[in-house]
Amino acid sequence: MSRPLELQPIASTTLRSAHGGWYMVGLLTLVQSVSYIDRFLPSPVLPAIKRDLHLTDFQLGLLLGPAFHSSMSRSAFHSAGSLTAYPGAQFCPLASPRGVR
Amino acid sequence: MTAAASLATAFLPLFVLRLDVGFGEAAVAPSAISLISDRFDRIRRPPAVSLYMAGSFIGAAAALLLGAPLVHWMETAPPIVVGMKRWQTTFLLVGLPGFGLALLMLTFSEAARTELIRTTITSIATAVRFIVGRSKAFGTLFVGSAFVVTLGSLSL
Repeated sequence: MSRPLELQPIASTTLRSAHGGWYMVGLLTLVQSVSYIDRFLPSPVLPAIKRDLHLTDFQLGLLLGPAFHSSMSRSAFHSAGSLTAYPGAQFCPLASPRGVR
Repeated sequence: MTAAASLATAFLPLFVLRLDVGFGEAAVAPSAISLISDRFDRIRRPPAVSLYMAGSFIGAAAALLLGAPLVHWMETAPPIVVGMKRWQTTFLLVGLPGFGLALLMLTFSEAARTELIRTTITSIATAVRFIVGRSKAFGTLFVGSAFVVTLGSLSL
Protein backbone atom coordinates (compact mmCIF):
# COMPACT_ATOMS: atom_id res chain seq x y z
CA MET A 1 0.00 0.00 0.00
CA SER A 2 3.00 2.30 0.09
CA ARG A 3 2.60 2.89 -3.62
CA PRO A 4 -1.06 2.92 -4.59
CA LEU A 5 -0.26 3.04 -8.29
CA GLU A 6 2.55 1.45 -10.15
CA LEU A 7 3.42 0.75 -13.72
CA GLN A 8 3.23 -2.93 -14.29
CA PRO A 9 4.09 -4.83 -17.45
CA ILE A 10 1.44 -7.48 -18.03
CA ALA A 11 3.01 -9.06 -21.09
CA SER A 12 6.47 -9.78 -22.38
CA THR A 13 8.60 -6.67 -22.67
CA THR A 14 10.20 -7.75 -25.93
CA LEU A 15 10.03 -5.25 -28.76
CA ARG A 16 6.53 -5.36 -30.11
CA SER A 17 5.98 -5.44 -33.79
CA ALA A 18 4.97 -2.05 -35.08
CA HIS A 19 3.04 -3.73 -37.88
CA GLY A 20 0.25 -1.43 -38.89
CA GLY A 21 1.24 0.92 -36.11
CA TRP A 22 2.36 3.71 -38.37
CA TYR A 23 -0.90 3.51 -40.27
CA MET A 24 -2.67 4.06 -36.97
CA VAL A 25 -0.36 6.93 -36.04
CA GLY A 26 -1.00 8.49 -39.45
CA LEU A 27 -4.75 8.35 -38.87
CA LEU A 28 -4.39 9.74 -35.35
CA THR A 29 -2.28 12.58 -36.74
CA LEU A 30 -5.04 13.27 -39.25
CA VAL A 31 -7.64 13.21 -36.46
CA GLN A 32 -5.55 15.62 -34.41
CA SER A 33 -5.14 18.02 -37.31
CA VAL A 34 -8.86 17.90 -38.09
CA SER A 35 -9.65 18.63 -34.45
CA TYR A 36 -7.33 21.66 -34.59
CA ILE A 37 -8.92 22.79 -37.83
CA ASP A 38 -12.26 22.66 -36.00
CA ARG A 39 -10.74 24.58 -33.14
CA PHE A 40 -9.38 27.42 -35.25
CA LEU A 41 -12.01 27.51 -37.98
CA PRO A 42 -14.12 30.25 -36.31
CA SER A 43 -11.23 32.72 -36.55
CA PRO A 44 -11.44 33.37 -40.31
CA VAL A 45 -15.26 33.35 -40.41
CA LEU A 46 -15.71 35.45 -37.28
CA PRO A 47 -16.53 38.76 -39.01
CA ALA A 48 -19.29 37.06 -41.03
CA ILE A 49 -20.76 35.41 -37.93
CA LYS A 50 -20.70 38.70 -36.06
CA ARG A 51 -22.52 40.44 -38.90
CA ASP A 52 -25.17 37.76 -39.42
CA LEU A 53 -26.05 37.00 -35.83
CA HIS A 54 -25.60 40.58 -34.58
CA LEU A 55 -23.21 39.47 -31.86
CA THR A 56 -21.47 41.69 -29.38
CA ASP A 57 -17.71 41.57 -28.95
CA PHE A 58 -18.25 39.87 -25.61
CA GLN A 59 -20.25 37.09 -27.26
CA LEU A 60 -17.54 36.67 -29.88
CA GLY A 61 -15.07 36.41 -27.03
CA LEU A 62 -17.14 33.65 -25.47
CA LEU A 63 -17.21 31.76 -28.76
CA LEU A 64 -13.54 32.08 -29.54
CA GLY A 65 -12.10 32.20 -26.08
CA PRO A 66 -9.76 34.93 -24.94
CA ALA A 67 -7.31 34.06 -22.22
CA PHE A 68 -9.36 34.84 -19.17
CA HIS A 69 -7.55 32.29 -17.17
CA SER A 70 -3.99 32.91 -18.14
CA SER A 71 -3.24 29.34 -19.10
CA MET A 72 -5.73 26.49 -18.98
CA SER A 73 -9.16 27.78 -19.79
CA ARG A 74 -9.54 29.86 -22.86
CA SER A 75 -13.24 30.52 -22.25
CA ALA A 76 -16.01 28.05 -22.87
CA PHE A 77 -14.18 26.02 -25.44
CA HIS A 78 -11.17 25.39 -23.30
CA SER A 79 -13.01 25.03 -20.02
CA ALA A 80 -14.95 22.23 -21.64
CA GLY A 81 -11.63 20.78 -22.69
CA SER A 82 -10.06 20.97 -19.27
CA LEU A 83 -13.21 19.69 -17.57
CA THR A 84 -13.44 16.59 -19.71
CA ALA A 85 -9.74 15.87 -20.13
CA TYR A 86 -9.56 14.32 -16.69
CA PRO A 87 -12.66 12.14 -16.79
CA GLY A 88 -11.67 11.30 -20.35
CA ALA A 89 -8.27 10.14 -19.22
CA GLN A 90 -9.89 8.13 -16.44
CA PHE A 91 -11.96 6.15 -18.91
CA CYS A 92 -8.97 5.21 -21.01
CA PRO A 93 -7.56 2.46 -18.81
CA LEU A 94 -11.05 1.09 -18.18
CA ALA A 95 -12.57 0.97 -21.63
CA SER A 96 -11.31 0.58 -25.11
CA PRO A 97 -9.84 3.96 -25.99
CA ARG A 98 -11.58 3.87 -29.32
CA GLY A 99 -14.89 3.60 -27.54
CA VAL A 100 -14.13 6.80 -25.68
CA ARG A 101 -13.44 8.65 -28.88
CA MET B 1 -20.33 19.18 -34.30
CA THR B 2 -18.60 21.58 -36.62
CA ALA B 3 -20.97 20.47 -39.37
CA ALA B 4 -23.88 20.90 -36.97
CA ALA B 5 -22.70 24.43 -36.19
CA SER B 6 -23.64 25.31 -39.76
CA LEU B 7 -27.28 25.05 -38.67
CA ALA B 8 -26.88 27.55 -35.85
CA THR B 9 -28.85 30.73 -36.36
CA ALA B 10 -28.37 32.32 -32.96
CA PHE B 11 -25.66 32.84 -30.38
CA LEU B 12 -26.70 30.19 -27.87
CA PRO B 13 -26.87 27.17 -30.21
CA LEU B 14 -23.52 28.15 -31.70
CA PHE B 15 -22.05 28.50 -28.20
CA VAL B 16 -23.35 25.08 -27.13
CA LEU B 17 -22.08 23.45 -30.32
CA ARG B 18 -18.65 24.97 -29.77
CA LEU B 19 -18.73 23.54 -26.24
CA ASP B 20 -19.50 20.13 -27.74
CA VAL B 21 -16.52 20.40 -30.07
CA GLY B 22 -14.43 21.06 -26.96
CA PHE B 23 -15.84 18.01 -25.20
CA GLY B 24 -15.10 15.81 -28.16
CA GLU B 25 -11.58 17.09 -28.62
CA ALA B 26 -10.73 16.64 -24.97
CA ALA B 27 -11.13 12.88 -25.48
CA VAL B 28 -8.81 12.76 -28.50
CA ALA B 29 -5.44 13.18 -26.82
CA PRO B 30 -5.79 10.67 -23.93
CA SER B 31 -7.20 8.06 -26.33
CA ALA B 32 -4.52 8.63 -28.93
CA ILE B 33 -1.67 8.45 -26.42
CA SER B 34 -3.16 5.28 -24.99
CA LEU B 35 -3.50 3.67 -28.43
CA ILE B 36 0.05 4.63 -29.41
CA SER B 37 1.66 3.39 -26.22
CA ASP B 38 -0.05 0.02 -26.59
CA ARG B 39 1.24 -0.35 -30.13
CA PHE B 40 4.77 1.00 -29.74
CA ASP B 41 7.31 -0.05 -27.15
CA ARG B 42 9.25 2.47 -25.09
CA ILE B 43 11.97 2.86 -27.70
CA ARG B 44 9.72 3.47 -30.69
CA ARG B 45 7.10 5.46 -28.80
CA PRO B 46 8.69 8.97 -28.93
CA PRO B 47 8.75 9.30 -32.75
CA ALA B 48 5.18 7.99 -32.94
CA VAL B 49 3.94 10.44 -30.31
CA SER B 50 5.88 13.27 -31.98
CA LEU B 51 4.23 12.62 -35.32
CA TYR B 52 0.82 12.53 -33.66
CA MET B 53 1.51 15.80 -31.80
CA ALA B 54 2.60 17.43 -35.05
CA GLY B 55 -1.02 16.98 -36.15
CA SER B 56 -2.02 19.91 -33.89
CA PHE B 57 0.27 22.30 -35.72
CA ILE B 58 -0.65 20.95 -39.14
CA GLY B 59 -4.31 21.46 -38.26
CA ALA B 60 -3.88 24.92 -36.75
CA ALA B 61 -1.84 26.06 -39.74
CA ALA B 62 -4.29 24.52 -42.21
CA ALA B 63 -7.29 26.18 -40.55
CA LEU B 64 -5.76 29.63 -40.91
CA LEU B 65 -3.88 29.15 -44.21
CA LEU B 66 -6.72 27.42 -46.05
CA GLY B 67 -9.60 28.90 -44.05
CA ALA B 68 -9.03 32.45 -45.22
CA PRO B 69 -8.92 31.62 -48.97
CA LEU B 70 -11.95 29.36 -48.46
CA VAL B 71 -13.90 32.21 -46.89
CA HIS B 72 -12.78 34.58 -49.64
CA TRP B 73 -13.82 32.08 -52.31
CA MET B 74 -17.20 31.59 -50.65
CA GLU B 75 -17.79 35.34 -50.55
CA THR B 76 -17.34 35.63 -54.30
CA ALA B 77 -18.75 32.31 -55.58
CA PRO B 78 -22.48 31.66 -55.81
CA PRO B 79 -23.94 30.01 -52.70
CA ILE B 80 -23.34 26.23 -52.64
CA VAL B 81 -26.19 25.40 -50.33
CA VAL B 82 -29.18 27.58 -51.06
CA GLY B 83 -30.61 29.34 -48.04
CA MET B 84 -27.46 28.95 -45.99
CA LYS B 85 -25.21 31.80 -44.98
CA ARG B 86 -21.70 31.49 -46.33
CA TRP B 87 -20.04 31.04 -42.96
CA GLN B 88 -22.55 28.26 -42.26
CA THR B 89 -21.52 26.54 -45.49
CA THR B 90 -17.90 26.88 -44.40
CA PHE B 91 -18.65 25.02 -41.17
CA LEU B 92 -20.53 22.36 -43.12
CA LEU B 93 -17.77 21.81 -45.70
CA VAL B 94 -15.06 21.64 -43.06
CA GLY B 95 -17.10 19.44 -40.74
CA LEU B 96 -18.11 16.77 -43.24
CA PRO B 97 -14.71 15.08 -43.81
CA GLY B 98 -14.72 14.25 -40.10
CA PHE B 99 -17.35 11.59 -40.68
CA GLY B 100 -15.19 9.84 -43.27
CA LEU B 101 -12.24 10.00 -40.90
CA ALA B 102 -14.35 8.48 -38.12
CA LEU B 103 -15.09 5.50 -40.41
CA LEU B 104 -11.39 5.14 -41.25
CA MET B 105 -10.66 4.87 -37.54
CA LEU B 106 -12.43 1.50 -37.59
CA THR B 107 -9.86 0.11 -40.02
CA PHE B 108 -7.10 -0.64 -37.53
CA SER B 109 -7.16 -3.08 -34.68
CA GLU B 110 -6.21 -2.19 -31.16
CA ALA B 111 -3.08 -3.76 -29.76
CA ALA B 112 -3.33 -5.62 -26.49
CA ARG B 113 -2.50 -3.60 -23.42
CA THR B 114 0.98 -4.36 -22.26
CA GLU B 115 1.45 -1.86 -19.49
CA LEU B 116 -1.13 -0.91 -16.96
CA ILE B 117 -1.17 1.41 -14.03
CA ARG B 118 -2.26 -0.97 -11.31
CA THR B 119 -4.60 0.65 -8.88
CA THR B 120 -5.66 -0.53 -5.49
CA ILE B 121 -8.09 2.33 -5.03
CA THR B 122 -9.74 3.50 -8.21
CA SER B 123 -10.67 7.03 -7.33
CA ILE B 124 -9.73 10.54 -8.28
CA ALA B 125 -8.21 11.00 -4.79
CA THR B 126 -5.73 8.20 -5.47
CA ALA B 127 -4.82 9.70 -8.79
CA VAL B 128 -4.31 13.11 -7.17
CA ARG B 129 -2.08 11.53 -4.48
CA PHE B 130 -0.09 9.78 -7.21
CA ILE B 131 0.48 13.08 -8.98
CA VAL B 132 1.21 15.06 -5.79
CA GLY B 133 3.70 12.41 -4.73
CA ARG B 134 5.59 13.08 -7.95
CA SER B 135 5.05 16.82 -7.87
CA LYS B 136 8.48 17.68 -9.27
CA ALA B 137 7.93 15.72 -12.47
CA PHE B 138 4.25 16.56 -12.91
CA GLY B 139 4.73 20.15 -11.71
CA THR B 140 7.36 21.02 -14.29
CA LEU B 141 5.28 19.40 -17.04
CA PHE B 142 2.16 21.25 -15.88
CA VAL B 143 3.81 24.66 -15.59
CA GLY B 144 5.74 24.12 -18.82
CA SER B 145 2.71 23.20 -20.89
CA ALA B 146 0.73 26.06 -19.30
CA PHE B 147 3.38 28.49 -20.54
CA VAL B 148 3.42 26.91 -23.99
CA VAL B 149 -0.34 27.34 -24.35
CA THR B 150 -0.24 30.88 -22.94
CA LEU B 151 2.47 31.94 -25.36
CA GLY B 152 0.69 30.18 -28.21
CA SER B 153 -2.59 31.92 -27.40
CA LEU B 154 -0.98 35.36 -27.32
CA SER B 155 -0.19 35.13 -30.99
CA LEU B 156 -3.86 34.65 -31.80
